[in-house]
Amino acid sequence: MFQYLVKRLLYSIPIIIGITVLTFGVMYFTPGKPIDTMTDFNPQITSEAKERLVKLYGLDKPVHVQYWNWLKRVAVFDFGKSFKDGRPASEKIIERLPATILLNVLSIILMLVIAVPVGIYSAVRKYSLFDRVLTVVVFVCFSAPVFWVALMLMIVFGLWLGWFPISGLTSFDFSELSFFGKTWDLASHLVLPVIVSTLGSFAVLSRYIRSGMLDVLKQDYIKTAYSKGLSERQVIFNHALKNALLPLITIIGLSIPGLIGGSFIIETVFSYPGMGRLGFDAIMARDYPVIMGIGVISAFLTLLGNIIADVLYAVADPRIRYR
Amino acid sequence: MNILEIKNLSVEYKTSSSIVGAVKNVSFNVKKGETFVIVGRSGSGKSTVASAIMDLTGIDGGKIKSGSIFYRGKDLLKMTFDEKRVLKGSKISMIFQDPQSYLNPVIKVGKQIAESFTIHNSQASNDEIRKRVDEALKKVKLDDTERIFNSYPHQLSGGQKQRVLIAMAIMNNPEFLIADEPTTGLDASIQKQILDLINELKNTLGLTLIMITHNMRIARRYSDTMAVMHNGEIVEIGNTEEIFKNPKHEYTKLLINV
Repeated sequence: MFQYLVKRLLYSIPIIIGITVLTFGVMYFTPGKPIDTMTDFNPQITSEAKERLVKLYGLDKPVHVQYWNWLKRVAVFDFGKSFKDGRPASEKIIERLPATILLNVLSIILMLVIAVPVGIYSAVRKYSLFDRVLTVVVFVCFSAPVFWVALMLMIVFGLWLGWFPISGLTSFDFSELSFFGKTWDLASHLVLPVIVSTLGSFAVLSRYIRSGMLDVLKQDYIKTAYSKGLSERQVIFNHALKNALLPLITIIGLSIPGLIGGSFIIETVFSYPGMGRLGFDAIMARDYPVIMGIGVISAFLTLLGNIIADVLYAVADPRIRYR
Repeated sequence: MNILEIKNLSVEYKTSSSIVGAVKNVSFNVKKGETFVIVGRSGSGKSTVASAIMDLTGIDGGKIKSGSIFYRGKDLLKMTFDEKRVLKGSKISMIFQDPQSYLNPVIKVGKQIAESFTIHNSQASNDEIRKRVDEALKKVKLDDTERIFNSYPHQLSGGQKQRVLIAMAIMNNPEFLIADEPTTGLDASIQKQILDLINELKNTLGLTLIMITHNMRIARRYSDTMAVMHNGEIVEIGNTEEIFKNPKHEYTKLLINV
């Protein structure tokens, strides 16, 4: 197992480098350059000044030299300074992390809490009224575009009913509130984004669990369990559940990068101060260091998530042993 | 004395396109202490009869259309699920054809055997449970009890897994055992060992045995009474030796002469 882990970690290094090459390439060949946003709307800028800026950021060099310079700095954990405001890219990313993690941890928990029982129930009571209604609900949740759902919720619960604030993470007077007031403020800001980011994944996951459970309930060892005299409840909880939930490990492992990467759409629509919006703004401004920083972190976390999922799989399923 | 009486049993299966009558109007009696063998090719409905007795028809998507299954004079098909639950695994047990797939892959063997006991004896202490499991393992000639107890199914051989399933089935000293093709999927050399073990347990525990097989030699060697099934119907039934000596139905002759 330990050997396997070391091997997997070593394999990850070329993969991460490959991902950064791709990201850097795509970014470089995308129309529009970083200095455009700084200079295009400034009528007083001279072409010499423009040249100087290009030189200053090293953008005059060929793409492979730029990439090499970037890689050398990253090797010592220096992600460079944001082109936009000169602050270190790593600092900008770390500052946005907690908000995104908070949002995504809450929605993953909510997703599991709803999707697991719902998926199991609709598998056990297949084609019941509940299962049929749920199929429609899931279909709607899955098909409705996230940005549209977000806007509808903002209109209904934010504007018409006025129950929840519709943007940001805190109110402007946040710093003056008591501890209880702060918690309340934070919670009310989180309600709509959490609901929106849970809906789609809940729909997918509950279907996953339903089909996994249906598959398990057809297995021969379920017959053995019934022939021992177990009740339906005991069969489901003692024999079927663990087998049906094994694939969940992979799904949760794969959602770890989303924890950090955030959702571009949701965070942008809700003006939520997280990684997703940072990434969106960075891409719009061609802020190379920030884009690459987010890229590297996301790639690293995706691979880490995969490895963790594989390890947990081996823990949960005795048939799997890695070498 | 008849321990089991099946009267006019009909079972249907719904496939995607049609309804298949898997068992049509089957009746037979099983006497206490005998070995009753149902022979027939695959698809003849012999396993469906076993499933119906064990109340497993619904899991395969089947439905019992009509008939009755009397166990000690009480109709199993008129009982509630919970009433049948008391009998299943304690008075009536079953072992299956493919030991690999009939054991839960993610639960340790010891726990799976123990469950057969605890489900019917909720007050049992841990020591008592462990003692019973070890006894059952010894009865099926798995003497390496400690290792077997802590193994997962995939760590055991096919023969060991079938012994584990048998241990599970005899955990509560049942009076009635159904063995559905108990040697399919096992090596030829292991097959005889398993059949001899079942036969030996039948004698020492005083079991009544229903065995389902497609193998005429097994049927002749181990059974007292035999029923031949073809296309969901029993075409011939009677004393095994008499049938072999003087088969009446064409299909029986065909099976014997193969």
